Amino acid sequence: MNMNRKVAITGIGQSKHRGHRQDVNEPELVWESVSDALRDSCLDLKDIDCILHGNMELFEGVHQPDMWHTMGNGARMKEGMRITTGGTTGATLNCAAANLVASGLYDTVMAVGFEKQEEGQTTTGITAMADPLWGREIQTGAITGATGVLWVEELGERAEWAAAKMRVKAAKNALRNYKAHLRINITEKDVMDSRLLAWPLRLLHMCPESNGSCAIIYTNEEKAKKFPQKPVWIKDHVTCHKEETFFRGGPRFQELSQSYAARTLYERNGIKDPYKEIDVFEMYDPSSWWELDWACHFLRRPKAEVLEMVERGDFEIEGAWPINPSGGVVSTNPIGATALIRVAEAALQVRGDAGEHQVPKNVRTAMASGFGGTFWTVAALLVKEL
Amino acid sequence: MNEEKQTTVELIDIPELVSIPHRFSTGPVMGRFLSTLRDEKKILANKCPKCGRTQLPPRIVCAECNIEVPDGNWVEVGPGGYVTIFDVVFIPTLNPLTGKMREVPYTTCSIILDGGDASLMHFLDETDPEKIKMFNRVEAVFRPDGERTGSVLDILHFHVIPGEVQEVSHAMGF
Repeated sequence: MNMNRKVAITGIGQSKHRGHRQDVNEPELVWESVSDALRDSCLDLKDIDCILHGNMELFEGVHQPDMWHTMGNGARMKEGMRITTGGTTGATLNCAAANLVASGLYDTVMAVGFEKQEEGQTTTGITAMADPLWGREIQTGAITGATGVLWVEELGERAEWAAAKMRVKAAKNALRNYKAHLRINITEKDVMDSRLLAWPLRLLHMCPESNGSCAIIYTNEEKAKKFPQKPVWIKDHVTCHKEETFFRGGPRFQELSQSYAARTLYERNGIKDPYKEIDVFEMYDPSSWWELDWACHFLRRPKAEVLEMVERGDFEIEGAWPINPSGGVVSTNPIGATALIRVAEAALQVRGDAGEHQVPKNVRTAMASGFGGTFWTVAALLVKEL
Repeated sequence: MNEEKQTTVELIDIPELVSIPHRFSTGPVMGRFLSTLRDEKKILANKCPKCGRTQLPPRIVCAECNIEVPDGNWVEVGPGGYVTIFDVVFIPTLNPLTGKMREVPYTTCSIILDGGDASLMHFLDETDPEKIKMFNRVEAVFRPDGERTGSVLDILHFHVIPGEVQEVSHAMGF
């Protein structure tokens, strides 16, 4: 992408993401990540020119939550806008903040994503995303085993084992991330014995409903050099939105959005082999089946090869191509913040500040993805040096 | 002796139930599709004049080519077809259209109807995943005359024909 000005991430904040947060109301939850990002950046609210706010309104049922949340996100008497693109909301916040800084309209922008899912009905909210003329009667939120059906059809029990191994990997990583929501000790057998949601998708494969928020501060090159926190640069981002809710196979091939996003990102940035050229990947994995499947798309490799990688432990924190050292979305999922957390965690890895879940290598390039809407994908590349 | 006073703050949840009646316009293309389903028990797709693909449900523009599909480009598809992918759902969730929990298990699916190449989302009458084969042949079961209202539920479900599998050259699912 042709950026007018270089854009750096210069502050990262997250709340502790939990299943129950009755101890705070929504603006208070938002403030946890905003104050954390300000602390991390050593900046003050007066240094921020514009504030972006995002979540999915149908989950909490609050229209224009940015109004109520002004006291939590620091937007009082500031410019700002609201962004809501479903599951990709956090990833779109990242794109929008980067675009606003790159354009020169603002020097420093803060993006804030949040969700307090205990206050509403998540699956009902997602189902209401489907078009009311046909799909709403049929869709079951984001709960689908369809990808798993294809894997099991092609590779049998070995695929079920691989999806379980991905889930256990996420759980082990989340135990090293004190902000993660589900921090549980589980085995592959626990995953495969857990309750069926939609065959072969089981309860432990699926992401939870979390309460949490995430805030990231972006600035231009000139300011990044003056600001105290070490910068992480946005190299590129790509958005693939499709109208096709309904395409689920048939004689006319359609490239899936995650494949399109990965291919475009690699082509534009001269990445020939992502396995060698990308050091860590924070993927939006709504379920372990999708994490397994999308590893194929983002690695540009067939299922059989990715299965071998799973079995070798390539995707573990200490592995050759770590995916979701944070524990990922199956461990933590405050939806409006979820895709922004991917960017935040990828940036922490580049900075070397991920603490106990830091991957043990020099991270020069990290990738973050978002997923949602009608099979939409947004992906971003972050680098240590531009 | 000074004992430190422990103060606890009471946390209060305020319950609210939101029930909102909606009315959604179909527009002319979806309107024709739904009224034909209701009055003639026929499933109509519309064909893009550029790429030639059929759309289900039909739309006023081709979502891929972004050009208008002329009103005459209707193709009758089905009532037979084959399954490209399915979901046997075991977890009860709230149906936002009724406010009631859905009864489980139920099976959602995507099917390619004979005479078209676009997949349609609907329900299957089989809830045992072992009994649904990839590319299984299916047949639409319509709601009886006088009970159809011009909605997705004018088709009750697609009946899975045991053991009958469509021969196809394309890849599985998506």
